[in-house]
Amino acid sequence: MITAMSKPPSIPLPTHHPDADLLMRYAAGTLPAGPALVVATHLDFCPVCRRQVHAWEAVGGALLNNQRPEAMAEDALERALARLDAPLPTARMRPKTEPKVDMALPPALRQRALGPWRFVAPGIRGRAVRVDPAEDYKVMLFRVGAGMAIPTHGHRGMEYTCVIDGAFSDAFGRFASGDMAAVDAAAEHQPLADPDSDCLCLIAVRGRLRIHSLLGRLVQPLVGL
Amino acid sequence: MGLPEAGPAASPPASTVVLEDVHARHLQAIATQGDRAAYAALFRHYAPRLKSYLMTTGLPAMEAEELAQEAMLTIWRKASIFDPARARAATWIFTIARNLRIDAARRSRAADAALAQESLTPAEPEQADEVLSALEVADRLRATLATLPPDQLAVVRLSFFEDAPHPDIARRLGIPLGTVKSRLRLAMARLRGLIDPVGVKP
Repeated sequence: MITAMSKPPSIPLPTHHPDADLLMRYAAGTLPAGPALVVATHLDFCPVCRRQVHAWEAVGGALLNNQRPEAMAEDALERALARLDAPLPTARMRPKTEPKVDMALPPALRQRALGPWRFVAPGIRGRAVRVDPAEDYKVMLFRVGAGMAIPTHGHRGMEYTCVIDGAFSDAFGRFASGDMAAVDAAAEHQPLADPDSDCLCLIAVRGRLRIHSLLGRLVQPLVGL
Repeated sequence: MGLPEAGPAASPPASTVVLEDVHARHLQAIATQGDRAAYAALFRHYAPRLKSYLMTTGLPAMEAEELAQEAMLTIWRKASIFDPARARAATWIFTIARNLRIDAARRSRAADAALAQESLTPAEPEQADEVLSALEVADRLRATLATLPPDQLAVVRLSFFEDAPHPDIARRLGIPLGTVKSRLRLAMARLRGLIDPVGVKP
C-alpha cells in the first residue's frame, strides 16, 4: 500500500505524523501560519502525508463544485477578459532583498525570513522564523547540541515540532528527521537530543513557552518565546 | 453513463467526470493557445462558486468578488503548470483560491509580504502509482460527497472551508449541537476511510 517504499530514500521516512485533522485543516487552508509551516516542513519529508493532503484538497475541489453559485457583478467577465493582457506583476512577488537561500533547510523553510542565531542556553541556539504575528504563534528554529536537554517546559496552547536534522527523544518517543509532534497544553516534557549529533528542529508555539528552570526564565526574554 | 467504470461501491457519476474532463481541456487550451472562449467557459462555472466559497470563509461579498477575480486571473496565468495527470481541475482551482485567500488575509493584516505558498509550483515528481492512486482517491471522495445527504454536506462544508467550531455550525444551521457532531462524525469517517484506508498512522 505504501508505494514510497519502492524508491530507496536517502533518509528513512518519518514515523511520527500529523493526525488526519491537522492534514485536513492544512489542506483546507484553515490552519494558522505557525502550525501550517511545521506541517509543510513535515510534508517535505513525507510522501504518505503529501498524498493525504492531496486527497483533502480533492475534497476541497469537490466542495467547490458543490457550492451554490453566488452571482458575480454583471460586468465581471468583461473585466476579467480585459485583465488578461495586463503585464505580469513582476515586482510585487519579489522580496526587496533577495534572501540568502539555505539549501540545508527543507523547501518549506528556504524562502522564509529568518532572524539571527542567538544563544538560548549552553548548547542551544535558536533563531526566529517570521510568520504573521496576528495569529499568535511563535515559530523558532532550534539547534540543540548533541546530548543536550531542552529545559523542561510546558505551554498554554499546542506546541508543534518537526525535526529537520538529528533526533531527540522525550516521553513520547524518539523523533528523527521529518518526524512531527503535536503536544497539547497539559503536557510537560523534556526533549533530549541524541548523543552523537546536533538536533535541528522547527517549533511553533501558541502564546509563550513556560520554561521551568532559573536558566529558562533568564533566557526566555532573549528568545522572545 | 455508458462508461466502463471500474471501482466497486463508489465510482463517480459519469456526468461529473465528463465535466471535470471538459474543465481540464479548457485549462490546457488556455495554456497552449491562450484560448479566451475556454477561459470564459471556466469563468462562468468557477467564478460564482469561488465567490461563494470565499464568502463561506467569512469574506464580505465585495472582497470575495475581487478575490474570485484574482483567482481566475491566476488560473489564466498559471494554466501551463496544471497537470491533469496529477490533479483534477476543481482540485487545482481550489488550491489556487485557498492560497490567495491565505495571502490576502496576511496582507490585509499588514504582515510582511507573505510568500506565496509552494503548492502552486510543481514539487518533485511523485511516483507514477502514487499519482494514479491520488486521482482515484479524488474521484472516490467526490463520489462519496455526492452521495451525502444535503444536511451532512452543509456541515462538512462549514467545517472544512471555515474550520467553524461546532456550536457555530449548530447556530448557523439552526440544528442541535449533538446533531452537528453526529453528522460530522458520520461524514468524516467516510472521507477519512477513503483518504487513509490502511490506517498507516495513529
